[in-house]
Amino acid sequence: MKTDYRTVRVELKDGIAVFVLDNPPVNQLSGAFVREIADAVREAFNDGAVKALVLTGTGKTFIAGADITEIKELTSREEILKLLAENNRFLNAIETGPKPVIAAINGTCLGGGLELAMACHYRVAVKGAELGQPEVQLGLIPGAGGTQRLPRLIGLPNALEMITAGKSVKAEKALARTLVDEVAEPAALLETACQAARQFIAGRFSRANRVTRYRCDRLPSAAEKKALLDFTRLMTAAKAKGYIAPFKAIEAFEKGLGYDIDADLAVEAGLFADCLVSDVAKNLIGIFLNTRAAGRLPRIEGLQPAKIKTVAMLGGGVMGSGIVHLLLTGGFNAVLWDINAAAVEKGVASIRGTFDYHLKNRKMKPEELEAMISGRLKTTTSLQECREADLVIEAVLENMQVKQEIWKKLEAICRPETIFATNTSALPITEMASVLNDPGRMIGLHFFNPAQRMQLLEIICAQRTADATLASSVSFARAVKKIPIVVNDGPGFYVSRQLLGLMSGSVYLMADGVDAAAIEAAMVDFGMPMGPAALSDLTGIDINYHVNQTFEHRLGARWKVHPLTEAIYRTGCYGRKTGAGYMDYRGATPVPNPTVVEVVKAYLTANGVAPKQASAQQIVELMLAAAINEAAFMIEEGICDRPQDMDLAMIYGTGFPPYRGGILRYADAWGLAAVYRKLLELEKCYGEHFAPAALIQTMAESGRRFYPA
Amino acid sequence: MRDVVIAGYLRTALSRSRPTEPARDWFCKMRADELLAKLLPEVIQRTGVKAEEIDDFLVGCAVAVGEQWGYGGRIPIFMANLPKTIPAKFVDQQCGSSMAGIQIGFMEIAMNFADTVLVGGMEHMTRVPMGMTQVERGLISPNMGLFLDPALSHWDMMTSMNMGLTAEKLVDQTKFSREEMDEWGVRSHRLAVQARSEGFFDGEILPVDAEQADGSVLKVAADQAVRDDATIESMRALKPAFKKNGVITPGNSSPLNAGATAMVLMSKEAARKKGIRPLATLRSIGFAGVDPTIMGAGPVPASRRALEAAKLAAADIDFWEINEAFCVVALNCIRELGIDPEKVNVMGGGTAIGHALGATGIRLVGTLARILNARGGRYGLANACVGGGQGVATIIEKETYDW
Repeated sequence: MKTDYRTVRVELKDGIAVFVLDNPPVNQLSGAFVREIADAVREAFNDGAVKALVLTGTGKTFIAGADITEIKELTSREEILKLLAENNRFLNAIETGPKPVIAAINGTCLGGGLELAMACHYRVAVKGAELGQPEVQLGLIPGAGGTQRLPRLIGLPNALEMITAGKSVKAEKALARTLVDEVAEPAALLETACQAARQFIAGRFSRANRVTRYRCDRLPSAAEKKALLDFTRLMTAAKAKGYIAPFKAIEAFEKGLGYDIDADLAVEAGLFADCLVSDVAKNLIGIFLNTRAAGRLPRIEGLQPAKIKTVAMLGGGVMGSGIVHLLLTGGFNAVLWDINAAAVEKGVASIRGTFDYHLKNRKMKPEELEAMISGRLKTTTSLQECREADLVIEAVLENMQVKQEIWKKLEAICRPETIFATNTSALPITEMASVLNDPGRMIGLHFFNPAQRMQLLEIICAQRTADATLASSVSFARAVKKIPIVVNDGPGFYVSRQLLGLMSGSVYLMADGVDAAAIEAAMVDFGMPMGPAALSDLTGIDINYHVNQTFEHRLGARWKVHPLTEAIYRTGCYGRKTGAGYMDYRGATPVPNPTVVEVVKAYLTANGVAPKQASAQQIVELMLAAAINEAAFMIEEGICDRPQDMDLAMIYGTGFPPYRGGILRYADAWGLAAVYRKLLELEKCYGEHFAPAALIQTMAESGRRFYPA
Repeated sequence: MRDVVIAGYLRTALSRSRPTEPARDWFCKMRADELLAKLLPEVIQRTGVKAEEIDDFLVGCAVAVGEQWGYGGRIPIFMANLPKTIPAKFVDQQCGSSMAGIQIGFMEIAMNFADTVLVGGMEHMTRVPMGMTQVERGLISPNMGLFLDPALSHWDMMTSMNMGLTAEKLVDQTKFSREEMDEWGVRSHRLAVQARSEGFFDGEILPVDAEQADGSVLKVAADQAVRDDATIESMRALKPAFKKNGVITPGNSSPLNAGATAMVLMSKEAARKKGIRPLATLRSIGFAGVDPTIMGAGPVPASRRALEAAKLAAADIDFWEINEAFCVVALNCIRELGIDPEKVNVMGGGTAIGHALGATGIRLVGTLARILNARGGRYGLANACVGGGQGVATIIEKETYDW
């Protein structure tokens, strides 16, 4: 038997061939890797000395899935189907082969990894291992039998949850669902798998009874299947608007799950191909790869980030307590500073509050929380206590003078290498850093509310932020499980300005007689979590107004406050916090706020504007044109230069619909020439706010795109 | 004790199950509870009772695991959209399950605790296979002590849980020849084919539209396992199914099947009041335990007890329905009880028609009642052997119901 493979280590003992799969870093199933496994399995099948096979992975991964970078290169259906057929032949050979194959699942077992494990005859998983078919998250469906084998093993209801929602399960749950046959401690995993192999060899386990394709006892009846899938389709339609893959998965169940699994696998392959060639999958795969690469900037390549162990948090408000939550769960020592004992006490209570969800859902025991708080959270009202900190994050009053005072004091207290990070959402960081002797140590770490849940961390480099400071900040972001997006200093940085830019068109539409409800509906239908009015009501109409003023002040006439914005602001209805904004929230269900409705009506009457119907498409085009334009201005101004990061920031920071890929992806799909024409048309109609950035004109004229084609 | 009558009986055809080739089962895409749910409203309506008048529901099933779990018998009621006021019991006496249902219903009515009882049986041996596959999947997990504890080893569970081996052992003890059994098997098919061609089964089978593996819809109105071409030569050619040099073959044992059965029992007075003409009157019941390694011997003592209780002799019985789980079971019964073979399984038996374990008891009693009506005769006895070493028996009498 051949044993010298690049990615498969072979050990033969007592008739059991143990294959250790080792394709760093996470055992992704590349074409070459699969071919080696297939070769190794074939050799073992043909070798009389081998009675049973055990497949296992390396480190914390069994197999993390297919190699997406390879998959995304496939563009033609023929190519895709050919690859899938080849892969199915490989898995079928294992499944229907002459010898028992046992999967010893040593860690993460996702996508193609689980599909391989399901083609085996016995599965042992290590405690806590994650098993799943997360393909829908990439706009795909399982393409190597997942839609057909998983229901055969665990029944359709369970498989629906795992495949259409892409939800993975831990080994313990997989055992309860009979997806795996045994769960073992890490040290005992291989021996447990070999024990199972010996049972097969001794004839106590029947390979024939454990061939997944012949397991029909969990298949639903025709009537049951119809009832289940009709229901799931309805539920999915409500949850996954705009997505394709969940519906293709449902179709795979509908047309498959028969008694000829090879026909079913062919159906699955066709549906997989439908997904892979779709724009949605391209967008989602792009996001996946970009997310993985976020923060890997040429500027900090090769720099060793500082080891951050102790972090001081200044201010225990909403943001501060959310950030302390992250510090504690991330294993850091935290020091919470606030202005007085009462504020500190309030902060600690607020920190406890952020764990309510964990306690209620038994993701954490009360004593674990107490141990964490007493063991790793220090509270103080003295800045002196920050002297041990490797990183100080400040979230105090949004007042330049107050902040600068604190930083000046801290510079005298902290070690010179301590990083100073501000969580300001509006103040210029370059100016804030100007009071320091070493402005290179200062950076912006803009968390989003609620900090413990939002995945994005916007990292803002001030003019003189040092590369080392940035490298350590990016590494810190990863340590607290955030996606770091690095931008440069400017009003609203990237995310806030881009979001305001995206929503900025609504006031022009309203002033033109378009119903606010139509604008809301169009944007929600587009995929935003909420429309401009609902968002303003949430963040505060006054806040937005002030930001708009700041933009006008710092970015010029393009951001002149619209008279209608002014008029609405003057009503004093600032949104949810005052009980009413665009909507009135005081009743059981929100209704349009009559005060604002009147103001808009008065504005229209005064300006002789008649009510106007606008289609959802017209609305979306205007809103997106403004957003793209703002993005272009920010690129011109040097706020940011990486389209993939900009799009990720909007997706993770504001809920921009992932399946659309992002604002700049959308621009590319729309075509810059069309965007440019649209902006010229809007400028004519609505004025300077829509005047196209020079960059848009250049791109339109030269046929350039934001992303490489 | 009040007289209890069989007021209605209906069943689905029995499809032929092959767990390893599910696509060949006509009912592969229907669950047993769905089959039963189609039957129940129909048997109620055809009998002429109102669903609201049903005092109890008993449903038998032998492998009540996985999708055949019945929630105490309520699931078939819900599936059939019957009134919530019908209570239910899920009855497991293995192959005697739905006959046990009849027996419990009989006693409830006889002792005046109920007037109208609905009985059902169901089994799908493709979708929920019997035996080792379920054990290996953990859906059935018999106490391993039974297999390993020397103090319990005399139960010989390896044989006791394998019906084929119990049949082989019964043949060893009774010395019936392979030829005798094969001949009985051929007879079973011949009689079933004849009964089918005379339209006998049309009176008891509810045709069911069933989606096939290829997506087409088949109206299933006849039993799938009955063979028109069964000959002694073809039977002789079959290989033993359970042990080397064995004599039990697919030709002299019942196939695996899927199907559902239903019956309405009433007090005779209630039937009279409603003007319902019964199929027959339930006269006596019997049950007995035997050595589990020769469970096929069970019908003999069970029948004796039923006969004794009714003060009847075997010779008084005009027609017998003896479940042909294996042909040797019928042959043994005939020999032990001194039965005229011509009175046994006259419309064919389990070898041909099939044996959907939990559904069989009702099939036997229902078919027997219809035989008494079709052929004329007073007494009939239906019995069955039961895995685990039991026998069940029911005696019915055809009376004149002059209302």
